[in-house]
Amino acid sequence: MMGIIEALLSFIRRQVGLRTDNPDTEGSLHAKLNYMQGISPIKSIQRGTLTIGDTDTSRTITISPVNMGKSMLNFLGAEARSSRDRASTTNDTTYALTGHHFARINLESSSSIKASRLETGVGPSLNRPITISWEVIEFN
Amino acid sequence: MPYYAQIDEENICFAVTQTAGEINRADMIEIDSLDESILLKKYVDGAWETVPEEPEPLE
Repeated sequence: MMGIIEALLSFIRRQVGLRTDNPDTEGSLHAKLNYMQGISPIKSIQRGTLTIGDTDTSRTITISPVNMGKSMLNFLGAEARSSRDRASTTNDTTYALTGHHFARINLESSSSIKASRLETGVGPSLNRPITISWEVIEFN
Repeated sequence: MPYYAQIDEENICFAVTQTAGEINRADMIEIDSLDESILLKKYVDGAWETVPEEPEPLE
């Protein structure tokens, strides 16, 4: 009876293998997992959040170098507070001037992202910053 | 993967980034996490200080 159990445990050990097993499609479970890790289509993912200041229309940030031919930059959204137009308060109304809300981003170089917008807000003391989230996925 | 806060010439943080590798630049401060709460704060002697906003003019 003990012999059967030992044989069974030995079989299971061979099937599971060790974390240090070399990548191999015909090897243990760990060897197969190591092989699959090696063939992931994704090389790296970088992500972050940046702010264009209230008086600025662009901002450039630094990232780890990527192959621009094998990378995609994703815009994950942006937020900005409203900017009241004091010049339009003659009928006691205020509204959000939205020009400063609209921003875009691009992979300016292999190691930089540029975010830009056309407007900063209504004017001095009513300009608003905008905050943008992004991610860069580089493929193998 | 490391995290960095990027600061401008006035030491104000304008970006937090999780990079693919280490970056050695004077304007990139290594931080513990992707902490967005430090955006627009000033880096002073290893700490992040809130910069007071200018009050809006009265109408």
